[in-house]
Amino acid sequence: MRPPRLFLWALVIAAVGLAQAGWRPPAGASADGETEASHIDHVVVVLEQNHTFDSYFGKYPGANGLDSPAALAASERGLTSVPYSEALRPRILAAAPEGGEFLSNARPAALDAYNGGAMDGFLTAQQTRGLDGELSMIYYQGRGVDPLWDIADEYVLFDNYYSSVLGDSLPNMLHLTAGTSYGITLGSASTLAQIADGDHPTLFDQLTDAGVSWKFYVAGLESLDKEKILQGEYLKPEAHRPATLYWAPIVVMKRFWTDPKLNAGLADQGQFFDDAAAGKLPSVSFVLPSPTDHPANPLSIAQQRLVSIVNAVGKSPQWERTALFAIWDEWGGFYDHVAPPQVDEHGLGFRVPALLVSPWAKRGYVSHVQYDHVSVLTFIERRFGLPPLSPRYQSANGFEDAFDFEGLPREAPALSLASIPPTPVGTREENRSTLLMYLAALGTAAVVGAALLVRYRQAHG
Amino acid sequence: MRVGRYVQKFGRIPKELRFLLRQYVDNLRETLARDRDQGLLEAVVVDRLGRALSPRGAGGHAIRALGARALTRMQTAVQTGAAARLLSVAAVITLAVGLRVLDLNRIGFNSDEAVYSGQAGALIGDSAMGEFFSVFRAHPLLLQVLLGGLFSIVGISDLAARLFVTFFFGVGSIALTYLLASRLYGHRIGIVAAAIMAVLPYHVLVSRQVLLDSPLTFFVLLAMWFTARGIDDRSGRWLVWAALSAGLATATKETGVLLLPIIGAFLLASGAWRRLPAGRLAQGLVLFALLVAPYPLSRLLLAPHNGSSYLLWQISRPPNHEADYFLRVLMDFGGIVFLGLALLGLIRLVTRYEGKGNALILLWTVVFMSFFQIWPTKLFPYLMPVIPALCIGAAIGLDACAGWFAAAVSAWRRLQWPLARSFVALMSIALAIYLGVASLSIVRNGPEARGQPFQFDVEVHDFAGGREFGLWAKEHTPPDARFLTIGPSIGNVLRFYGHRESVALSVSPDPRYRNPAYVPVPNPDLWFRENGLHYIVWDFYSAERSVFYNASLMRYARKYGGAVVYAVYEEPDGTLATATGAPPQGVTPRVVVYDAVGGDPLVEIAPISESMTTRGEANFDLNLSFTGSVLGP
Repeated sequence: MRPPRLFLWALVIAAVGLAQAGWRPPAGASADGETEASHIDHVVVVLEQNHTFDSYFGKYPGANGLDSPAALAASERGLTSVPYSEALRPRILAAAPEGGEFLSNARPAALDAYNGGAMDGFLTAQQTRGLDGELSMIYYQGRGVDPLWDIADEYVLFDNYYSSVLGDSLPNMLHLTAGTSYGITLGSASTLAQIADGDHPTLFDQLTDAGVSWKFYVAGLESLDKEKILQGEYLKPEAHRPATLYWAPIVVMKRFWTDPKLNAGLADQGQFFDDAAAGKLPSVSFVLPSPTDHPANPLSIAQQRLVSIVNAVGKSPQWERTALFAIWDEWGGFYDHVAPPQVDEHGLGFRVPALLVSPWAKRGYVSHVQYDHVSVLTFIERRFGLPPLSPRYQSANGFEDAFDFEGLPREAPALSLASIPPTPVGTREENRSTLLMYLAALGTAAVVGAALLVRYRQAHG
Repeated sequence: MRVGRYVQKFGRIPKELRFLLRQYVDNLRETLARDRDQGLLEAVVVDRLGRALSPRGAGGHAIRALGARALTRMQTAVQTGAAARLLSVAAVITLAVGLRVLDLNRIGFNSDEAVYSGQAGALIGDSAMGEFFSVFRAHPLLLQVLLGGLFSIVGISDLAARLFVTFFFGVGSIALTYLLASRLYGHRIGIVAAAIMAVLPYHVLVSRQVLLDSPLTFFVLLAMWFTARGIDDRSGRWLVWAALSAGLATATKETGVLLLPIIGAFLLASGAWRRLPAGRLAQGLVLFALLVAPYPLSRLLLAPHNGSSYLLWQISRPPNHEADYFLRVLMDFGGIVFLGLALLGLIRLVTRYEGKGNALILLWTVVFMSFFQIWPTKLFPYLMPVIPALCIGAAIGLDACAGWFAAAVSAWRRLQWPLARSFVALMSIALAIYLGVASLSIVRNGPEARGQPFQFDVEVHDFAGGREFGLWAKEHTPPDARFLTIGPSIGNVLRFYGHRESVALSVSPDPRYRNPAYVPVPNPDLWFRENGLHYIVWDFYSAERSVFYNASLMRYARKYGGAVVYAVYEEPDGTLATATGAPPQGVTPRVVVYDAVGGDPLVEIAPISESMTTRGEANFDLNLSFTGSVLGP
């Protein structure tokens, strides 16, 4: 009888031990296959702006960047890329007075730059519009983009990810959130008016109908005047239009203000940090941060914001079941050496940076698979069982190559922005051990003291 | 019924204790029965009340018995005059509570309060506090453990922490001072000493804060009281309790260890050591060691390098005040009358005052004062453990004055002592009013009411706005935002309320001159350019104390395009207000936050101007005005 009992006890102890250690079977052991559906419950999409892949990651090791043969050949044709330096900043600021565009990014300029696939019109596209064309050839490396490269080192960088339209923010954001731009190729008051009324379906309508939780965290949401949106005041030609209308097009759609179910999905940026910390992120989150890296915002602070968001997700209780995409909406007038494939009359647009952050993301992996904004939309639709919105969905690649669902989800490293050492603090275990030492001493002293008292009272009545 | 149930569960209590409890309740029941049989109306009422509450249960017996005990005590108290004494003590305690509770939470934590409360949070596993506060800092952790217990019940709260420390240790110390002084010198000295302490501006100011010095003082008093009780006791049991109290004091703050030489010297001086059982001495020392052990043990086992860093820093710290610092503190926050009376009282103890505890009071004062005077670092609350001794001295000094007065009016034989007693009463009341008004002024207006607070490092009112700043940062800045400050103090407040990290310009890169809890900033420019620093924080407290780093901070604010995004300021009437952007003209800024992201690092560094070099002038530049939301959500 003895050995079996011992064996049973050993089993029980082992089971308890494994349960305590948070053990779960290896991902590969799952019977229902290893897809994002079985590991990802929360998708976060962070929207950055107006840069091409080459402008940020042109010099990133292992990526299809400015040192590739095609880029070097372009350089020989006079398209010389310029590393960013502080000396260029006055030129950027001079070209972008009052926060205006310092490079043209609209569809006509994009088509000129594209030049039928020759990809040699970037300088002239700007110069013919009276802009400082050399600025379009700026690329960043080193300290200027350290936070972005740190994220790429830790997670997945996509070097074959395209914006969806050869053009500016509005049509690209519509592709991301509605699967189509409804024929819109340019952001303007009149094109905003096209989507303000009516029922152009979006991902968020689908999510609401399917009962899947979502939030669009829009920085500066409180500064938007609901009445002006409902009255169409912002869409009058002479009106000052907040850029948010182009960057988060659902806020110009009136039903997102009048329908309580849809309106409940609009939140401010601050709410994102609260929700992440409390483990209350919805199934789908879109985040339009402030500031973004839209020129001529200082890159440093925009990257700080992005890192804050990544760290907030990393520290969230929901981390283990989350995938975060950081994607740039459009080219912003910057140079990129790869000619985008043309899948329909509007695009694809130029390559833009895109990053995947997840406990299941491959570490330091550069994905060369072709994606565009519709790929992210399709990823969400497939994960939550929604019908496809985009006509391009069938050709949209999934992100299978970027994930590795084998093994355990990894911890999120706190991404640091600088070489500042952390404040020296003890670990949770050290703190607990210290507390136990004090409690043990106090408890023992109390018992000894009480025993002495009792003995004394017994002795002296 | 509830009481009854507990009483019926005696089976779970150790046998000895159960026996004692039963004996106690039986005695009380007998008393009640006797009083009731004698027709004592109150006893009958209590008996009936007990039956109504718990007709058959043991709880009813206990209630009736306790009521009888209280009645008996009240009767005895009235007969012996103890009721009057009790009323006077109650009045003093009420006064003490009033002065310590008034506007208690008007201003948020200062740096040390934030650290101790943050450590308490870290100890109980609060993730935010654990991220920002190391439990391995300069002092032991008994208070933090107690606060941790409180926080685990009510949550992390500055008000709860202050109420706990103020009531339990601050007011408790006054009660203990009464008990000690009245035991050694009678009720009159006890009540006067307690009254002085209750209204003494210094004690009011320090005991309202979550500092180690207030509980340290409480445990020192407890040790003194047990020692005083042991003067006539041959069993030595009081000494064990005194050692236990000394252990608690040392587990609160290292200076509590001074109690060992004080008690030891007293035992030698009084000859009590001859009749002291060796076993008791051993028990006392073991208990002391047991309570003190977690401090060095946790360091050695869990943070072995940490201890040497702190030791190096403590030994290397240059003197931060002149030799007359504590004298000036007592003059400004006690007054010349108090100081004169205390000195007079201590001299009387040496020369001719009768009392078995004279040596104890003198040793207590001399050992602590000598140590603080010799120790190079001098901070405002350090004197706390000596204050009860000085208050007892002042009460004795007042008594001496009464004696001299009585001698002076000896011609009026019949009126001599009534006059002397009236003199003591009037002097006491006048002193209490003088000190009480000063305390009230400090409570309402801050330590500025007593002169230049930066000369004394009184960290109370100078931190006005710190809590508001921290809460704003928590709400409006990204979780990983990092702040550059003049000194590390406001950073601690930011960590506690705002859960944000900061570094301070004044933290030395040289480990000999740096508190190991802080990270130095060897090259602020590098960190700005690496995007490691995002906000620049000017605060009144630090700016007032460090002209150089104040100017340095403003240079960085200019260089990196600092724009004022938030300010806490004080209106002319003393109320705090906040502004999103620069504060209005004519107010006193307390905290000004600059966004530090819009600048061009190639801008030439401005030289330190003359206007920035006047000590005590808190310089800042509001011309760096807010131009738009850059980082705040």
